[in-house]
Amino acid sequence: MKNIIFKELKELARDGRFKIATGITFVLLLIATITGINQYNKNNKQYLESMSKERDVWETQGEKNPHSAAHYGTYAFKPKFALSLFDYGVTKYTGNSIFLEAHNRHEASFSEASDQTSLARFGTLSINFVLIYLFPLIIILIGYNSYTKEIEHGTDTLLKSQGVNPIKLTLGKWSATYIPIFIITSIIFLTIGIVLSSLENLAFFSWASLLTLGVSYLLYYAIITTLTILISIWSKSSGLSLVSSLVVWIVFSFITPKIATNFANNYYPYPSKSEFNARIAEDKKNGLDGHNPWNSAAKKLEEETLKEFGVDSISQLPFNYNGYRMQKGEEHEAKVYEKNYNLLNEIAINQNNIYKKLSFLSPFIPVRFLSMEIANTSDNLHWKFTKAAEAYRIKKQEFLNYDIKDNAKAGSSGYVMTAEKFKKLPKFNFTPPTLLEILKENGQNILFLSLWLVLPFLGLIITSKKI
Amino acid sequence: MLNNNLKYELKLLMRSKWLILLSISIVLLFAFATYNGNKNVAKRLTDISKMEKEFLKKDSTMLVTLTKIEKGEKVDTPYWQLPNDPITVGYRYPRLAIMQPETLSFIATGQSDMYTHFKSPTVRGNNFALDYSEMVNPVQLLFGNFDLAFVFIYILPLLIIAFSFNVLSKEKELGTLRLLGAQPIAVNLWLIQKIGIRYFVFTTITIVALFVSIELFSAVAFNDFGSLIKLLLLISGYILFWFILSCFVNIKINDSSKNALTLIGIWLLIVMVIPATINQIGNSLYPTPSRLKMINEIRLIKKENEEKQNKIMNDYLRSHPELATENQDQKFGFWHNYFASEKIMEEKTAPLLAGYDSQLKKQQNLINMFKYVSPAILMQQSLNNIAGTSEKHYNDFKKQVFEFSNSWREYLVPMLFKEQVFTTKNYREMPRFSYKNRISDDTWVNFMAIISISGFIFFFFINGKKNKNISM
Repeated sequence: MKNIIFKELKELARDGRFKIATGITFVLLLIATITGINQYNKNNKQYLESMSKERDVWETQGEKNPHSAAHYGTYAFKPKFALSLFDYGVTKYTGNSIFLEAHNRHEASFSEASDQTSLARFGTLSINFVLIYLFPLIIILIGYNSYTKEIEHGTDTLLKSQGVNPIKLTLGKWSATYIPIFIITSIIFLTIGIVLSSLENLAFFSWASLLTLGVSYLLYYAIITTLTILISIWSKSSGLSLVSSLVVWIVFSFITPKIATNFANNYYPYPSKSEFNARIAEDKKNGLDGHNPWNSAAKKLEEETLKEFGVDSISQLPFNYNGYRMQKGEEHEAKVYEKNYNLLNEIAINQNNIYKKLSFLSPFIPVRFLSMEIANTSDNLHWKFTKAAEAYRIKKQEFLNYDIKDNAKAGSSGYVMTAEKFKKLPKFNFTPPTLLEILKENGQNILFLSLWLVLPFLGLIITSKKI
Repeated sequence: MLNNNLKYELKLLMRSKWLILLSISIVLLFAFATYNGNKNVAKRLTDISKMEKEFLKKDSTMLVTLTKIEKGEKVDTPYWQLPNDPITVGYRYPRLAIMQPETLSFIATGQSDMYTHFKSPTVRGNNFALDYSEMVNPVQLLFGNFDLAFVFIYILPLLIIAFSFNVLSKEKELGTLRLLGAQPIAVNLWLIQKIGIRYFVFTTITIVALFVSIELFSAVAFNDFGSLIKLLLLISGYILFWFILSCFVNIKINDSSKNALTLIGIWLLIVMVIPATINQIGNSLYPTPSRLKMINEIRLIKKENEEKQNKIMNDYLRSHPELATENQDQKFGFWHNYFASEKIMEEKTAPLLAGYDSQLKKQQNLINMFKYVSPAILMQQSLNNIAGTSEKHYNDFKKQVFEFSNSWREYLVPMLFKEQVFTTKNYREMPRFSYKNRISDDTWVNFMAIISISGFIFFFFINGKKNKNISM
């Protein structure tokens, strides 16, 4: 087997096409890395600046009525994660800041893609773009004729007559196709790790995550290698083997994900923004409005509160009732938002499940999802961020409403909060899930990748016995 | 000889399973893509129709209330929601600005999955900071739609490659090339004729398949004959480009595997690598200013405005004397201050917004410069233009909404300062939004560019080689 591997590798080293393809890929990787680092540094700097400026705006707003401050609001910014330099994921399509104010839950706004030309839809040259789209092509280039060339050169009979074990022959050819990719990928990931760890202000970088990413890609390449060799065994000519392998690559990388998009859209359509807002407005209408003491829910709350404290009028309560009602109203609105956003999240999960279910047609899908998840650039991460921002908004409202409740005189209306108190509002902080949590959540993707690895490989061994 | 070649090639194609496979593949791909495109447009129309219904319902309630007020009848609405206050109308009864789909919108999703197709700007809120993004799962935006544009740009070239990569090399591999060389026709000319016939067959199948798909799923497209012709020309041009490229590779390399590899390499370069690289370089060279920075700027201006409220109001009335009443006791409330500050806000944020426009323009210029390197970019731009779903269309929609919103505010705000009430007459006079597709259609330019690139390859690389020997 060793001899087979050496012979194949020697042939490969002499092959001009392989050298050219690898050369072009390295140039693209270099462009992707340089522009990626440049963008990461710029975006991270902007993130840090905006966060600090926004906090400054909040803390220096001067003495003010807490509810005015609640409407004045503040922003939650999504951090730039280190591995986003490797895989941009959906970050281009999700916004990076959420406005947090009283009564309203806002969505992240201003996605990068909406500020760019439609060329963005062709994709962006990132490290991940090269690794996920172009590397499989190099594998195909190396392996498409591994068996057909023996037939075309008439060496297959020679091999058989020498009594070469067919399984060893297949494993040798498989290894010879995979080893160069394994080495190149390992070098790339090692270089990325070294480059990333040398950057300043890098957020949430871990070697463990990077290595897990590397392993996922290596698994994907092993799958492509197996399929390429399998196709080569089945094909009558190199041309046919090449065309078939390319068809498989196109089905994996383009056709299946796009078909999944249309299925997801048909089965689980998203409501339009206006429709979604209308539903929220309708739900809000039927509950407690913190601003309106006359609606039925407010009246009911008043009665219950008076009963609880055993008093006849709100002026006898030991706290400012307006602040209390405002907080209760906020809690009701938060529940309305939670309900509607959970429904939306459910649609997104159902849509993503369609992609994941179609993973049996394409190993590209599980590796694409896994890559985004580990790089913290997935929509799942974005949901986590929006939920954290909403939790912070509710806490912020509580902080401000309880200030009115505890400090404003009962019945008075001109209460203002001291300028210093605004500084006491805790800062928004978002920590992404740990690698272990991510891997647990992605059990299905890992399972599909493993199946894609094991089943075709078994097929390869069985087929090789029949050669 | 052409006749013989034509007869023989057609016979060969008719007998081969390739032609059936090709026809079935194209019909299925087109039908599925047209169905999807049509579904997307239908969803857009349903969303618009829901909004229109809701809008009309609200407006009729407002009109009933207004009529009652004018007749002096009692109304149930709380005083702060009465529509005789012009600002209540501006805040609670905004107009609906709709961008209807074009007849051929189904051919290219373009940016339509990303943006909203209707907006209701109210008198409150910064017009320039309105978010036009639509609710959509970002994973869908990442993977994209299976629409006709995808089939045209990505799949058709691959089918062409599969259909023509070994036209000459097969003869060599079968040993018939020498026999061919003995015929009274130059091998190059023979190849060009053969590729030409295949081009004709392929284009015919494509056009027929397209017509069948349109007839099945979006027959209304036949009403826009002009756009349909442009579409057919573009497709024919794009197909021609790939056949010429294939012809060139057949002559230059003349080895089936190598031909296929080279053509796939070129496909990869034209359809994926060049557009992605230009996009990345464009973003690096001309990055759009950070929206985070804009948020900070707006917040700081708002803060500053709050502190200088009185001065702002004085300056505002000085520059708008028509809005100051002769009544010395004119009292300014929240809305008066708001509109005065809004003006300042717009003035101060204007340079920032100009920065966005300028960077986007620079990115567009970069694409315009490099789009001739990749016919895939030319195709994408043209198809989006025909479909009315390009970024230019959406940016212009934003612009039109902005212009409309300004004229609508300018109608209502003076009523606030002059303490006028809003009446049914005002309702009829109010400015109304009507979307116009103002984007100039550069389909012809792009079509000519694709033809010129194809012509260039043909005359300089194929025709120029006709006297050279092809390796036998």
